[in-house]
Amino acid sequence: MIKYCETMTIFQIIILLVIAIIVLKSFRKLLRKELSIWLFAIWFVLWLAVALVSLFPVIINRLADILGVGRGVDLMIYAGLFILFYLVFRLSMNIVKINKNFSKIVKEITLDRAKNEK
Amino acid sequence: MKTCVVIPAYNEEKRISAILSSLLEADFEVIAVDDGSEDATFSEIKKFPVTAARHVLNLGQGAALRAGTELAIDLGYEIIVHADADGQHRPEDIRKVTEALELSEFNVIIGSRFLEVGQRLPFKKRLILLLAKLFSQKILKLPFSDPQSGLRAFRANIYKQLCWQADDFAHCSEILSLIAEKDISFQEIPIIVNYDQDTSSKLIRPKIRMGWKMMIDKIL
Repeated sequence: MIKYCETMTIFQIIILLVIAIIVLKSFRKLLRKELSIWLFAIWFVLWLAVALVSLFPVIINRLADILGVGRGVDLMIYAGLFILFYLVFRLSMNIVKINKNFSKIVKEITLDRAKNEK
Repeated sequence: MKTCVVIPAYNEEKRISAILSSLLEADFEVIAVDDGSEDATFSEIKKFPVTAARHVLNLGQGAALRAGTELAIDLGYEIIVHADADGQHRPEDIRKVTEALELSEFNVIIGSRFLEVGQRLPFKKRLILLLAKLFSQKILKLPFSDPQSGLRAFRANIYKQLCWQADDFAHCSEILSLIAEKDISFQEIPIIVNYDQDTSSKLIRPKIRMGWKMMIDKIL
């Protein structure tokens, strides 16, 4: 293990440090009840996966071989793009919903006030 | 039939008094909706014996018309007329669309600037409106001569079919799309619109962004 740590790259060290900080902050939010246990667990597993992949890049290469994608980094790019597109789609849908609700609220206030003043 | 004219207004403190005076002189009942103006539009509206409503924030002409229309229906009006707050629509044309609706079997009457021979449009406006008309007829497949007309009258009992969702100027095309899709009976009649220096310098609708949005909505 110590030998492995000695061969770690700077990039891997930075990634692990950042992940550690994020997990720690999430844990503090969990303790303050700002985050549910399930959400914390999901994010913890995701960040653990990212940490494992950065420590042992061979994992992602094997996964890419199994899926027939090519290189591990190609798989990460495809997966990353897919996740980003999905998040943008979800955000757009949420914005449309919020705008509709916002219009509805303003309309209700407008009609209530107008009827009260009449 | 009990009729009211819904006027949506945004930053029209200089012009709203003139349009409200002319409508009241012509014996119309009016619902004026201030769409979150930053000037004294609402104060000006309150000086007149009209039903006044005010958005706490600016949402757009479509939203203001929707609020005014629903208020009109709640107050028991049977015919609802939409007209602009900048004085472009003459009270005699508002009377024309109202009477056309009362005397016919149609559910919607739309005033069209392109059916009137005497209509004089500034060149820029004419070009934009022609492009909007081509876009509406060829891309959106809407069979209307003036797709951006702001003067329309309809029966209150068809509002549920005509309930547009767009808050901005896209409501014009959305209303026409709904009329076409739901096979609502309509008629276009010629009107003359007043254009002066003030109105010609206003934002000309639709903007390209809205045309793009309408096209995307049509595809989806």
